[in-house]
Amino acid sequence: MVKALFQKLFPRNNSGRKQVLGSKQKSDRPIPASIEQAANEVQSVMGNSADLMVHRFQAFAGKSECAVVYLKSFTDIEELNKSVLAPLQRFTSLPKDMESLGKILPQAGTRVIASIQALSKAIAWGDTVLLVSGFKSGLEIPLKKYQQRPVEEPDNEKIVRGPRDGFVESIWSNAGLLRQRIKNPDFRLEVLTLGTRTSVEVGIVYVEGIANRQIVSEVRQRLERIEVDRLLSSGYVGEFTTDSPWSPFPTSQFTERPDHVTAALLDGRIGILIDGTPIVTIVPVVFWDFLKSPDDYIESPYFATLVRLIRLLAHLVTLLLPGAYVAVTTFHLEMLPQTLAMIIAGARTRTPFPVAIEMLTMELTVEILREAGLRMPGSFGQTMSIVGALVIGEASVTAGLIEPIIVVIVAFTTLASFIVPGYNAAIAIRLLRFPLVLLSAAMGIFGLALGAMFYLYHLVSLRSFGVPYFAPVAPLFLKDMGDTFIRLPWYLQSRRPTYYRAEDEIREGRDNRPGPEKES
Amino acid sequence: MNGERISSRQLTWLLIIINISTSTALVPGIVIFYARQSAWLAILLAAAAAAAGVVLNLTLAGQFPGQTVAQYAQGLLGTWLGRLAGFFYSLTCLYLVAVCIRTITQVIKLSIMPETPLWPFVTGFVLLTVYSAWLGLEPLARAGDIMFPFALLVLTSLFLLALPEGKLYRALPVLQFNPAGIVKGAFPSFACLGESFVILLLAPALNKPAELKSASLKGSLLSGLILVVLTQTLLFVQGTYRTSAYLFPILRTAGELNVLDVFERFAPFVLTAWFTVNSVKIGVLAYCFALSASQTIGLKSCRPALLAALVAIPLLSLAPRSLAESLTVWVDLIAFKILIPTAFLFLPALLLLIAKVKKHHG
Repeated sequence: MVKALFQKLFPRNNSGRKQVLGSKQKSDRPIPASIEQAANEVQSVMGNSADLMVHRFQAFAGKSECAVVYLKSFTDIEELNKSVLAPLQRFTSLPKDMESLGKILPQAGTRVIASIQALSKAIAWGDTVLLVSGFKSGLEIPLKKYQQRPVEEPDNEKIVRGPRDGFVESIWSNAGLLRQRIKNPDFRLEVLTLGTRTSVEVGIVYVEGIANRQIVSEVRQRLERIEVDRLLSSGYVGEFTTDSPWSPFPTSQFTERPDHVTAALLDGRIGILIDGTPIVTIVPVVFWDFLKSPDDYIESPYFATLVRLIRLLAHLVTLLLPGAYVAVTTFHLEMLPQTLAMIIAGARTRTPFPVAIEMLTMELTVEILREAGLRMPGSFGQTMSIVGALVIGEASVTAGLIEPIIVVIVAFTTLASFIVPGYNAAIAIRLLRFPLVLLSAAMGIFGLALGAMFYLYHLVSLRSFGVPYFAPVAPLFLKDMGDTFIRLPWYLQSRRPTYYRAEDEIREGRDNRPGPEKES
Repeated sequence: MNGERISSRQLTWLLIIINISTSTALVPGIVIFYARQSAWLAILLAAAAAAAGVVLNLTLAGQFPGQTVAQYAQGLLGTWLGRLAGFFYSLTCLYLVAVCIRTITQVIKLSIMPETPLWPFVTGFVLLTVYSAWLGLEPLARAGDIMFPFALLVLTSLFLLALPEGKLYRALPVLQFNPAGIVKGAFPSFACLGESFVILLLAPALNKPAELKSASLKGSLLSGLILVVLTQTLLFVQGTYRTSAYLFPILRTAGELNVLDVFERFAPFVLTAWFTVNSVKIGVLAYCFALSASQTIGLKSCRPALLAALVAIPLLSLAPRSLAESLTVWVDLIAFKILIPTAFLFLPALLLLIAKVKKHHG
């Protein structure tokens, strides 16, 4: 009875939900034989949109009245004239139906549509529809034209040596950039349409025979499950497909670099392309992927290893250093060398606030500066540096509000947070250092360790599309450690990472050791 | 939480963590107090006895593959007695969680923050414990994958830093036959290694059940070996008198170390490392408590039991009035002399006997 009452009070009706999300159910009427009537109906469905064009003309040697319906803002008019209107003027006899007309038109990708709803949808997608008087159907002709910027190097993911191209806003151009690198019939691109209002094309790319079928199917299912009115960027897809929606740590990786996605696909991972954004999502992902950069595979293994270790250290510094400083100066000053302890103690006597308050204030100030720097027009960048470094740093120290060592710590932490190549992973770390400062202020180094252990347990419990997030460290896959903290030479990395469960684990031949031919 | 799987290596590492994480601080002082320079013999004796106990537990677990002791005890002893046995295992785990939390937090408080009251430490640790157990066994095993190498790294660094302070004569004579001292010294080590009884609850989670025996025995014997190395190093560095005079000799050793006379007094670092490694052990014990309790009552999920633990653990942890009371009564008397021997030896032996008799009578 209680259940019944509950259901009455809070009905869970899926169809009702769909009605809110989906555009109102429109009547699916057939296309009328009269061009005039068909055009009127389309105009009515699209609310007499200003860019909706209906161009009427005589064709087939003046025997038949035709019309093309298209959106002026979205159509390649030159191509329309060349490959539709001109040929129609040349044809002398009227084909028996629309399908036959589609076959003789010199334009690929045409499709016959029969209802007003399909007609309006095709036009909304940027296609042109040809109507012929007396035919109860139309011919959808793909003539859409995007405003597209040229392929250029992404500003946010620059590397020293390596390719200079980056993704653009068109899913098809992006797929082309990937195909350019993987010239193999096993390259797969599946396209779904998501967002009931925005109708965005979302592509799943992977290499058949390498990517794990179960993971591919899981990605497909999670994408198909998305029921939302808009899908405007990769962040939406990331949030709707993640394994842990409340985790601050990202369980998918974002990139604008085709070489990065190519490498991921060849490791058995899956890319998600979204029309309208140059950001491609890569899944599954492990924590250590955020510490890697395409540069690592271009520079020597020694240098790549050194840089990776520095990145890991920077990650830990960003997370732990502010808390550790608060803990040590508040509770465990005896741990420090005597000279350093004296310097800190001397500085502490000149400031009025507890060290935790100073640290939090400075960290917040830096976050404000960083956010302001992002939103500020480029020409003000220098002003920001002056305001940040001089006014806030120097002046607050001179005024005796903040001790100088805190400024050093905060500056170092901020610098360290930029080293991590995975921008979204760095955001999580930036967020999480604040609770650690508070815990350190309350319980010293025990509080710091307590907070760090909470993060560690959370991290090891995460999964990205079924792959343990902390692999290959936890669970430990010793075989895969050659490309985690260190980067072994390529000839020693003959297997793909096991944790991605690739269908084909082998990626190189056995006898790849470089060097001169051995004398027999 | 059901359907969780861990590998045999993860089980071995978890067992080592469970066996040594608390005992590294507690055991060497007591063993050296009784057995003097023969401490290594006492620990080896304890390790051999613990290995025998592990074999007993494995034989029992082998009779009921895919089930925990809380499940098959009801089939062997009948519903009510079986439930009583299940509750015994739950309460033993819960008790050990509370006692470990009390000991660790009190040592941390006394060593580095004597002015702060105990309850914030206990509360923080309890929240961490319940959170880790809430996540399940797989994340705990993964945390073990990180913490075990970390613990070895910390111990090795300590040994290397402490070695220059060592004098060989302090560990001599190596073969001093002192039967009474050896047996007395073996007992606390055996009690610590007896925490391996958790395999009765963890065995069904192994992804390759055939490797249960080797994984468990490796875990038990390697724990004994690590304890021997640790105890002998402390003996070598501090000698019998100083080692047995301190409650936690390893912390004293850490406090006296320095690197280039610049970085010194590592006690807070060592305490932090000790706490982090122990958090895995305590998380596993809390998980075992919840698993056993939920299976005894017949709950589908362990999580309600963990919510109860959120209240019960702080009450138990804060009950002793002092560290002395905690160590003599709560640890030595109740845990070492009653609960662990019963959970590790007596009850499994009884259950195995009944299982054999029942099998014999068809």
